[in-house]
Amino acid sequence: MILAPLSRRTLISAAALLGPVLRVRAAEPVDPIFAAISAARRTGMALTAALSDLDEDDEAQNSRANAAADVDSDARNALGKVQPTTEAGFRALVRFHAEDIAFLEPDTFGALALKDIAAALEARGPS
Amino acid sequence: MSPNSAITVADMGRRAVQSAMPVLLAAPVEAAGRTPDPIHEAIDRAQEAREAYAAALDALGVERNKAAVLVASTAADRDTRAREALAALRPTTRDGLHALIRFYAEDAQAIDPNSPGSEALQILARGLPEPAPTRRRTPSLASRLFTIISECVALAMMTGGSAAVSRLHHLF
Repeated sequence: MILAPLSRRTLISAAALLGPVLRVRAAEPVDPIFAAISAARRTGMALTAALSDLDEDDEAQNSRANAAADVDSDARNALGKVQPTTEAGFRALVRFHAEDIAFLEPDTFGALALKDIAAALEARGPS
Repeated sequence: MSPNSAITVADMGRRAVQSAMPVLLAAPVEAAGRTPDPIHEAIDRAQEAREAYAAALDALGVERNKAAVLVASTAADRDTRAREALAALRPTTRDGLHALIRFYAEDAQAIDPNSPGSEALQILARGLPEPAPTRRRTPSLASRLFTIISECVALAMMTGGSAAVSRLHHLF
């Protein structure tokens, strides 16, 4: 088969070209906002799960819901202290807040303003 | 992820900001002062309308006379129109986008200060670079005219010139 030797050659030359690119990529610092957003999303989902079908007479369930609320609050506070270091991180932060506030308090001034800002960012195209 | 690790992330973020200036925030705004972005004009109009509306509401006082109510009502309409015009526009520059975020953050702080939405807007605005010093807002001719005519309307109503007032009011 002709393709096999060709792809070996292609792979070898591509690897030579990719090496410096990958090294540059690896050297780029990761924007810490992504991890903070992920943490806030996860704790938010855990809190929602703990609150759904909550039996308020059940002490264990209440305790789990309170613990989930504390963890979520910590994650949100941590997120508020992190500044994005990249354009992509900034966009992700705007999207997160726009979705979050639309869920928490839809149709409020804040929700509409964040929606407007997110739409403005989308209109600017990819970063 | 435990809350501790989230806090570690926060610490990493602080270090990142201190050591490697954020790409987004450190970069000078694109063509600030050179490429006009229509959003700046719309923000200025919305700010002027908001300030005029706030002043008209302050002037209402406890008496709430007819003239003052008319001025406040006209200012409210103008504020609504300015906000609608702003919402219909999209910033065309990064500087314009930053200005829009700052405006909404400031607005939310005045309208609904303790809401989660306001808090989120403050967080976004705090991360932005200082605005370019080249722009200085001056009241537009329309804004100055609006103020003058509003005051005339109030004065004319108080002195009984209601027919002239209603004609003037239709101008808005």
